[in-house]
Amino acid sequence: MVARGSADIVHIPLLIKRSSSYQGMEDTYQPRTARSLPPSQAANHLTESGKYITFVARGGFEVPDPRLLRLPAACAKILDMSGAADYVDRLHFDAEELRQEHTLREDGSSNL
Amino acid sequence: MAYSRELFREPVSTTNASVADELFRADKLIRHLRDFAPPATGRANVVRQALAHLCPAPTLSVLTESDEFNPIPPLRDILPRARIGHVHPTPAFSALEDFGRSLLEYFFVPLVAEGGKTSAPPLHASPNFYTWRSRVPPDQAQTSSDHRISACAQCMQRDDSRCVITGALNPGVYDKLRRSGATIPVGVMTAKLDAAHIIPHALNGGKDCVIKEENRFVWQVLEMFDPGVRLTLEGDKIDNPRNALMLDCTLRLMFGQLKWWLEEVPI
Repeated sequence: MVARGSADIVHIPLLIKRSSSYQGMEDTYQPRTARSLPPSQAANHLTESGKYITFVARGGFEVPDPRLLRLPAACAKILDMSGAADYVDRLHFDAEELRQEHTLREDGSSNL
Repeated sequence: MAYSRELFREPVSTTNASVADELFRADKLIRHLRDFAPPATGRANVVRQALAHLCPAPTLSVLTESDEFNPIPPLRDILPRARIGHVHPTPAFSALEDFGRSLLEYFFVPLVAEGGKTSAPPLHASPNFYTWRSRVPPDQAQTSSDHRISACAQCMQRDDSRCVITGALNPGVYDKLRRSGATIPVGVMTAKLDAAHIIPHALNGGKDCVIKEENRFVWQVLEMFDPGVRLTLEGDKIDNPRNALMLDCTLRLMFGQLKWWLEEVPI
């Protein structure tokens, strides 16, 4: 199941599936989702059970810093668990609506 | 420490239901801030910051020793005031509500906004881009955009030109494989990929390190969670592959909006 024949092609699959009791190797992560995650085909991949991701330093490039990954993880959990995610979503939804209202149409007209 | 735990758990008592609801949310936000902040220093800093809001110093003189991005008064200044009951003149939870509201408005809202819009440069820049670049004098050749293209390419190489979640291949690489007659694994999909920044690129001031006024508080809170993180990502360092991963565009947007995250698996 490995593609061959070109210099810069896929060699090692990133996705590792293991049982739920899997104890990770270094740089192994499990995707977690907020309750407000909108449904989408791509999002289905996040909720697959037993999905683990192990980063490998290919080409000499460093793997994502666990210290940095901890920050959005902490922020996402705080927003999700406190219910503040709804407030932030509503703000951004309103801002997006406002932006669309104020954007000129192709014929130069607007809602203003 | 026991003192702060009591404060975080005290029930909210008010007759105004809507205000109570608001207070409860702020209270929950701070409680989760403490619970989910990175362990040790991050959690201790959250408690210190909450205490500093409850027991504000009469002047700002206590901040003079602190770093611009870590303006939490030292415990030696906060605790004596807390012990003798010099709490905020307004009710304690009102002070906590202010703290929670500030975090929401000036940290979470901009963080999500910047996370959703941080755009990586195109993986395959147009030929015009490179023609233009070749005309640029060598001393000006390394532009910020240039740097990000290079960072994106590094990230793509590290992650095998695939989305780290879906495993989808970048269409350009898929075409190259197909044309070269390589055996393409069964079931491989293609998707438009982006190098997603873990900490949004837009938060940084770029090469000149001038951070926008509205992003200063965001960095202060990130520093509260993890002291020293700003220096790790200063200037162009924010485009380092350590701060990026290849993602499907939809997942990149949702990652920036904090709709999902990666949880470290213990070894």
